[in-house]
Amino acid sequence: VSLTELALFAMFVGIAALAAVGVSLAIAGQGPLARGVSGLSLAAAAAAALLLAGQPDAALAAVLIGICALMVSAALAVAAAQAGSQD
Amino acid sequence: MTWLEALRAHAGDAAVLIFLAGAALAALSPGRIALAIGVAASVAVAVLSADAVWRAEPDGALAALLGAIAAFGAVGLIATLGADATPRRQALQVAAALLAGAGLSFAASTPDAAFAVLGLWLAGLAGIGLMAVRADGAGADDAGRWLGFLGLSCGLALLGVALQALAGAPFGRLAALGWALHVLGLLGLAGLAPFNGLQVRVAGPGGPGAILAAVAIPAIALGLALRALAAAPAELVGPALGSVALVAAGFAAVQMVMAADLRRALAGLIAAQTSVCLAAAALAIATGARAGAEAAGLALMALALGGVAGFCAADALSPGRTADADSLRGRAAKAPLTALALAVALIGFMGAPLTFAFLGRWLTLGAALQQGWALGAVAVIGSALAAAVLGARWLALVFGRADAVEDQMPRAWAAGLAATAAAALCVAFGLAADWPLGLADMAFGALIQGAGP
Repeated sequence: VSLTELALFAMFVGIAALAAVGVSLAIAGQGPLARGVSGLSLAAAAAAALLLAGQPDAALAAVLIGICALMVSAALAVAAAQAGSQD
Repeated sequence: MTWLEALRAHAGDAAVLIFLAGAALAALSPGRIALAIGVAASVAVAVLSADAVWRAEPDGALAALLGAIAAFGAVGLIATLGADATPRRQALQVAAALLAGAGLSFAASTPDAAFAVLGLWLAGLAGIGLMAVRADGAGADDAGRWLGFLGLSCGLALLGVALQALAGAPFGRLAALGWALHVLGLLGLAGLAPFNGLQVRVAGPGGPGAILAAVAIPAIALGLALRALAAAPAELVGPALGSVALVAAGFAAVQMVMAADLRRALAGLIAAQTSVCLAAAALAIATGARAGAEAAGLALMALALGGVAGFCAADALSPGRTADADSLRGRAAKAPLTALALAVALIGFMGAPLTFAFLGRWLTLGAALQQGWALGAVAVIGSALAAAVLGARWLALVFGRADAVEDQMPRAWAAGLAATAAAALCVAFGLAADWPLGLADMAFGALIQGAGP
């Protein structure tokens, strides 16, 4: 096991823990942004695992899609806030 | 190689590029021009897939899937014509629908399991955009919840793919864990009951976003799940999958009977169809019965076509946010063709003879009885009976007498046309079953590779 793989594995475990926190926040109903963060961290955990497995292209794509998910959730949060202020 | 030959050789990539270019152009164009771009892109991909099917290419099954996606694009776009949106919103809707088409085409055409999941994720994000643009604020919350569920399912599936790649060739514990995560994530996306709770809620507001969430993404995810199932040892998968299918059929039956809204009932019916598909796959994998693989493929196709027909008909008959008993009573008198399309979809999900969905259920039942799987046979019959009770209830409402004081029904001819076209395909495939049977055999024959009789 090389040092890079160890570092990647540590990153994977850390992000997976973050994802677990994000998912539990999202399930507890802590707003759209928490869902976006959970999506992003899950995507990042998957990307780290894909890097470990030697699939860098898929890992990069997973990170990009995760960022898109975060942006969509931010847009939804803004839309919900605007709808709330109109009420 | 001429450009036409290159286009034919790379039909999958070409479809993705056409959809992406269309989405970019539509986002920058005014409403009507964006619609024209969307229709042109969908027709171009449909022509590509029809060409591949006509020439009986080895990847004809894939081409047919792309055709279905192109049809979805057209259906989604046509359905948006009925919505009273501003030109700017309309252009964004078209762009989101085409982006979803690109994601689905990519998921269906790429041989790489990780990229297939990413394609589905992209399609889901586009679907959420579609819903957010259409929604008047109230639907945004359900769209947001679905966003979280989408991330969870796709993240799990991707982790599974990575673990499988890490584990290498022999099917050890790590590979089994990865495989299980991969299949679990895909089945979550495929809308297996009771995981489909969010999809049922998202289907409520209707429109192309609902068709994406409840029909198109689940259908492609189910296809990918069937492909992943074929990769694991048969003795491990068959019995476990059979039990999962039985439990899911029970949950789906409860969902569809409890639904007070037609679109939610349709989502429950689709979940029941997913269970039939999985039961058929379990039979194929465990026993090597070719009828099981064919039944799984037919159930999947019937799910997609019946779903599009049902949801478009519901949108046309009751264009508002709810499609409950009050809004649907006596609608058949005002829109007889659309009501007939809804009837075809519902009767198909009931598993009545001479419909497309009947073939899949009949083959599953035959294979289950032949292999002595009595519980599976009972589940297929029970699920059809629950669907029959539910379908009869909604049909009686739609074809019944209208109230004395009637409101003015908005004209949603485009969604009605799409529903009628999808229903006509359901009937045509039910009567001439050779082509869909051959396609199912070609697409899901891998399910029975290596399984002994």
